[in-house]
Amino acid sequence: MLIYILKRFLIALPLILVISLVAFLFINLTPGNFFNQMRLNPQISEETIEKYIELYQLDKPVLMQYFAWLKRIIHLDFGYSFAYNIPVAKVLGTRVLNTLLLTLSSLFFTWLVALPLGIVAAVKVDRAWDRLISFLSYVLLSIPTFFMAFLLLYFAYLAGILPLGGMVSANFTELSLFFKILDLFKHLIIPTLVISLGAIASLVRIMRGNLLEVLRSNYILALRARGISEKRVTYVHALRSAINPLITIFGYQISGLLSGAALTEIICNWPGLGSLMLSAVRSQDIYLVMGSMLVSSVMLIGGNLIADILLGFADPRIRVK
Amino acid sequence: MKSLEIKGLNIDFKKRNSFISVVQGLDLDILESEIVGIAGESGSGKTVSTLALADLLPEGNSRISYKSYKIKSNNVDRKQIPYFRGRLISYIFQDPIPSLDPMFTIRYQLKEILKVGSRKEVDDKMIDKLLLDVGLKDRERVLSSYPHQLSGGMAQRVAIAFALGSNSKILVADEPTTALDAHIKKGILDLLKKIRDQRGLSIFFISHDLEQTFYIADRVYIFYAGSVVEYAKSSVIKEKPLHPYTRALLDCIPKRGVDELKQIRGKSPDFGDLPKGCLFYPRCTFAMDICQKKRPPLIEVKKGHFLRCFKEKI
Amino acid sequence: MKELFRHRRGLIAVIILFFLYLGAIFAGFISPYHYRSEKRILSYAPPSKINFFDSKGDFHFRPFIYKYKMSLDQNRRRVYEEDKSRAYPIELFIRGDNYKLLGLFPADIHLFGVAAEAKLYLFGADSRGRDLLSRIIYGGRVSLSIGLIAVVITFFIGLIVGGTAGYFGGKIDNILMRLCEMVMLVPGFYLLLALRSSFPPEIGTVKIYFLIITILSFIGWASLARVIRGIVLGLREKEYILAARSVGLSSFKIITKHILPNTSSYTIIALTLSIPSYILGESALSLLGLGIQDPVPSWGNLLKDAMAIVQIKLHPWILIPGLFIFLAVVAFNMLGDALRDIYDPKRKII
Repeated sequence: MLIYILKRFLIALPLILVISLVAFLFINLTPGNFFNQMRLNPQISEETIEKYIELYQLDKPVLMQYFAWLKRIIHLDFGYSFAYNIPVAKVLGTRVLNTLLLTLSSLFFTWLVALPLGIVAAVKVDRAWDRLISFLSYVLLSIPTFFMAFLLLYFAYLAGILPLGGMVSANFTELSLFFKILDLFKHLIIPTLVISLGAIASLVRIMRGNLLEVLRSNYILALRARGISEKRVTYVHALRSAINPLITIFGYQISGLLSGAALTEIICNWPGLGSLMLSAVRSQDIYLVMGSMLVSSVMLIGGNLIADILLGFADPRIRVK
Repeated sequence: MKSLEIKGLNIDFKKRNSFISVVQGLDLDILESEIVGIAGESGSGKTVSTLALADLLPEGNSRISYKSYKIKSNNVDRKQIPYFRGRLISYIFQDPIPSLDPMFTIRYQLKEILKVGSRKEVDDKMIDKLLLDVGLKDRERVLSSYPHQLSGGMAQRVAIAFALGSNSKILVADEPTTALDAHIKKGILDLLKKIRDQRGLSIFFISHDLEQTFYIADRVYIFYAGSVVEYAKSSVIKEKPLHPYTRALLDCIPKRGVDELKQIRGKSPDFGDLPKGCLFYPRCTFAMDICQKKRPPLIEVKKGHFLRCFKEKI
Repeated sequence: MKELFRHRRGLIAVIILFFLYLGAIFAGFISPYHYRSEKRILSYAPPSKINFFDSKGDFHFRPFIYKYKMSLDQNRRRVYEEDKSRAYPIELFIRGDNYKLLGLFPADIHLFGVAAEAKLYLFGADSRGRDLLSRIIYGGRVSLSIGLIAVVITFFIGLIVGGTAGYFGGKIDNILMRLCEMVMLVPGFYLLLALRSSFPPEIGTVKIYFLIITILSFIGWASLARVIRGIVLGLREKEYILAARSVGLSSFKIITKHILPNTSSYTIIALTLSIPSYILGESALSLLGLGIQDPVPSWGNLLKDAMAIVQIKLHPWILIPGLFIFLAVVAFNMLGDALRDIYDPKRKII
């Protein structure tokens, strides 16, 4: 088992390296970079720019730049953000946590809602509940996240009870701990809903499909033939097998939600990695872009790794050779 | 004493928006301590009929009806049938490992079944005895294993243990040796004989392998396209078969010293489009005119020997 | 093909897509106005009321509208009233803005519209008084075409990579699949933005159009390649391939004559189902200002105004382009599902 995990890990590392290299090359494809815009800014002297170029060896060939960057990364120095004027690592730090918070809350909500719905749909297949659930899933799947975000924000605006974006209210620092948490929670609701609704739709379909397929297996027939009650067959045996493939999906959902979260963050003004990425791109802030991309890839790989490990635990066919 | 007797069993399957008849007017019975062999081609209705005995066909896609169904001479109420599962009728299937839940250990699944059969607490002695009865040696290891860790032969023995665990009186063995290696087959057949002797079980032995069927069965039913075409004592079918299909089947068995491989010309009928007369008519070498027009009834032509054919002497 | 029309969902999908693409192709003719045609004084005018009864209560067979009168209220917000002094009937085949039919033939006849003095705003107007309906129809040209072209390119790349990996197996398969994994390991949105960032923010409509297509293909080929590789792997062991090999057919011939035709149904399904993500990708980019720029409309950039929530309250019709994106996505999803049901009847799960 341990070997299995280690193997996964070892594959991931070189992958990250190669990704970062390709990304770096790409970003440096264009001749005009950030400094063109900076040069237009009269407040920044030419000397400051020269200093930057020298510090980060920006006039050397791209490959050399890359290795220099890589060396710094190993020392956990992500470089400097030109736009924010502080080290990239600092900027990334809080943003990553915020995105994680959003992603985790969406993950939790999604699974909480989707699994029971999927089970109900499968157990009552082709009857009223199933038709309703399947239809709603179908529709929700196709709604673009940003559209959903607009709609939800609009309704929240009309209803007036939920805050419209951002992560905390203006008076956050003055609140007591309890109210701080409450405030955070209130701000989480809309972005979480936006991200979750689509994910719930797809998970419901998958859960339903898996359970239906398992219910058609040979051993389910055999279990019934042995006199095991229908309830036990469905909820102890069939469910157990149906959940298996979902475990991998769980890990992959982490990455999927991450990606989906970015756009939602931007629209809902949630200060996470996604909105950071956008402003970095808008200002062509190279190291920030690189750092964000790298971190998001690491998070994704982390998600996949968790998925693989969980699957190893859950499926005896892998766990016990 | 007859353990089970069913008459006039009809089974229809749903296809698109209509039902097609898969089994027509089947009569089947079995005595205590008897092994009844059910032989025939794939698709002849062998599995489907036996599944119907415990109402195990998929709901919504199938329709069952019968004229009478008796367990030990008592008429059976349709609603009671699901209760038979495990407690009266048990099954073992062709591929043993897929018939076991891959997510749980053998011990777990066995305990589960024992709870179906008896209300009392299940103890390890019972479990051990059960595995002993089916001839398993490394019992502790087997109990702690998951299905995928067992060999085919061991898994089938485990499946038989499962079938015995709930104290049923009738066992349906659906092609139990087909998926196993040649040298394992006999062991399973002997095991089935043994448990019949020890527990007085009635066993339905389904197979398309006639040799194995003759080895193990007391009586043999020959199925074709959803009905029984002949049944009698095993030795009678083997030596003096009457139905053309039975004779053709026997001819097909490869014999030592004979180089030629035979087969029955034509193919089995399409269930959606059954002919009016005898179902075997298109492939029968002894066909007569009447065979095309009317379906022959099942008649007892000699004591204990039933035949569905217009030609009585071949 | 026939089965597609018999399949209820598939049929609906085809009909929706037919009308969407019809609108895109004949955009100039079908829309009442050209997408640039502004009228700033009617900024954010609400959708025109279609009237059948005039102020005297008479019924007119041909629907008509009234001109808008704009005035400012106490908060200096615009208020629009109907000027009932003159009715403007909606006419068919009316002369209007110039455009080029199919991009080639200059024309000025529109399917429907009103006389030049009044403005027909079936879906309301945007900030510069441009007719939203016309802009949506023109927007379809971009949003619907980018997806298709990108998918075709993705298809070729995926086919080559996936087919080679699946067929040759071993080391080649390993390397290629590692490559795919790498691309797939970067979250889509971040990769999208990162690639976009390597080009300056403003580079002109045509360039941006092809840039978006390139970026989308770059993100999408990996998963398609994996799907194709899976199929090819499965096919490779099939008897007729072994038979072809044993007769001595060259690898190339085997791939082209035997393997590829059998992958076609699965690939078509995979492609159809990936078009929605491309449409969404382009919409997201344009929405964020990194894609197609004003004045050229795309359904994504038409939603830009909605980013400020207050605008949605004041002018809810600016969300309508989102409905069109939704419609296109639903249609492609339904089409993909329908195709899947047809080609693989074993999957009777929805």
